[in-house]
Amino acid sequence: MDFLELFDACVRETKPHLDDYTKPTTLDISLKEEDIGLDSLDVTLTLVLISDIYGIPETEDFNIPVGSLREVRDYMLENKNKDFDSVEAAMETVT
Amino acid sequence: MIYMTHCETLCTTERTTYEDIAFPQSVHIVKDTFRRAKSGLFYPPHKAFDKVILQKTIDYVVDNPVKGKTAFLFAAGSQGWMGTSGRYDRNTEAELHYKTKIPFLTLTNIYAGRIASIFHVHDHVSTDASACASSLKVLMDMQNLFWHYGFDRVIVLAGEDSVCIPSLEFFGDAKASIQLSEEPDRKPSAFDGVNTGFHVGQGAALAVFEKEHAGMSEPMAKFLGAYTSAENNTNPLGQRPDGEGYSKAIDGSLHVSGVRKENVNVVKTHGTGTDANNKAEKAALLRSLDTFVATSYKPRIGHTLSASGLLETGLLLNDMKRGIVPQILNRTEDDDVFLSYDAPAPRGPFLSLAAGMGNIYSAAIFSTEV
Repeated sequence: MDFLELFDACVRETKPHLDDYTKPTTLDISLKEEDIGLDSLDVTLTLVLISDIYGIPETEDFNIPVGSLREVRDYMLENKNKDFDSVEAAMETVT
Repeated sequence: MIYMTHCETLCTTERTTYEDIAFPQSVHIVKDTFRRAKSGLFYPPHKAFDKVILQKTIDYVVDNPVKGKTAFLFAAGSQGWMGTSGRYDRNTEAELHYKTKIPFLTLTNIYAGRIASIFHVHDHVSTDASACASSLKVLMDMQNLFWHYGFDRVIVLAGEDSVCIPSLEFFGDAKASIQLSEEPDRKPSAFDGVNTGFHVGQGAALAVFEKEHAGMSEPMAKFLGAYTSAENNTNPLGQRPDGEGYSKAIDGSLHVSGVRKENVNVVKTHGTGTDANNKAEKAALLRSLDTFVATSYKPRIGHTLSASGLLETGLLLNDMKRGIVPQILNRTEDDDVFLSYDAPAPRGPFLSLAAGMGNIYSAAIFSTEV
C-alpha cells in the first residue's frame, strides 16, 4: 500500500477544507504547516485515523514521531497490528 | 440595511427508530453523518456541519471582502457536547453510542475558531449557549455588531449534538419527545388539542448576513431586527402560560425593527407542540400581533434544538418563495391561524420565534421584500 496515497486519503477525510493543503510527493517532507499546509489539529486527526487503520491502540502520550512523513510511515509499519493491500480497502474500514 | 445573502440548511423529514436506548423513540437523522461514529474518529455534528459549509459560500466570503469587520458566531445550543453525563446506564452496543477519540476538538469554541479560519474571519469569533433559542438569540448579537461595532458581515453557524443518547434521554424523561410506545396514537404537531410533542431531529444551518456592498450576491431576505427576552419565572425549565417571555421578545423585535404589528402577517413559531409551549406561544402571539398565519416545522423535521430558529427560517423563506406558508402537520382541527392547511404567502415582514431552556425567548423579523 502506497503510504503517500494513504496519507492523502486520510487528510481528505479529516480536514474540513483543503485550500491550503499540498498533497505530498515525497516521504521526506516535513509535517510543518508551511511545508504541507496542515495545522497541528489536522496533523493530529490524520495520524489518529492512520493509527486506527493500522490497528495501533491509542496511547496517553500520543508519541508518534512527526519530523517527516517517513518517520510517520516507519512508526506505523513497526507498530501495526493489521495491514491492507490497497488504500481503498484501508479507507473502507474507517470511513 | 442588513441582508441575508446565503442560508444553507440541513435537516430531514425521514425518521429512524431506535429501540436499544433508555427511552426508545424515533428521530430525524441524516444517516451518513453517523457513519463510523463509533470508531471515535468522526463526530456526527461535524459531519452535519460539513454539509452546510459549502465551498461556494467560502469562496464568496473570501473573494468578496467587505470594507468593515467580519464576525463568526457559532450558535451552539446547550454546548453540552461530547455527551459524557447521561443519567442512565449506557448501552454501549446501541447504534447511537459513540465517544470521540479527541474530545477537545468537539469543544464549541475550538470548533468555532477552526471554521472561522476557513472563512478567513479574524475580527470576531464567539459561541453561544442559549439552548434552543441560540440561533435566533445570536441575531441580536449580530445586530449589535452591525449597528455599534463597525461590522459589515456576520456569518452564523447553528447546530449542536442534538441526536445523541444523553439528549434523547433528557427529552424522553421529560415526556417532551414522543416515545415509541405512544406511536402511532400520538403524532407530532403544534397548537393542537390531540397531537402533542415532537421527535428530536438533527439539523444545521449556515447563514451570511451583510450590509450592502459592490460584490454582494442577490439577497434572500432583509433582516429587520431581533430581540431576546427573559420572563418573570422562577422555574428556568418552565414557560409561563400567559407567554410573557414570548410577548416581550416579539414586542422588542417590533420596536427595534420599526415594523408595526399589523404588518407582520406570517409567523414561524417555535412550535414544539408541548402543552406548555402551545399555551405560552399562542397566548403571546394573539396578544402581540393582529392578523397572521402561523406555521411550525418541527412536526416535519423534528426539533433540531439550537439550529431550529435559523434553520426553520431558511425553510420558511424557501416555502414563501414558492408562494406558500405550509400547514402544521397532524393538526386534528380546522385552523386558519395556526395553520391546518397550506396558506398563500403574503410578501413583506415575517416573524421567527424560538425559545430555550434557561428562560430565553427570541424573536427576529425579516422581510421577503429585498
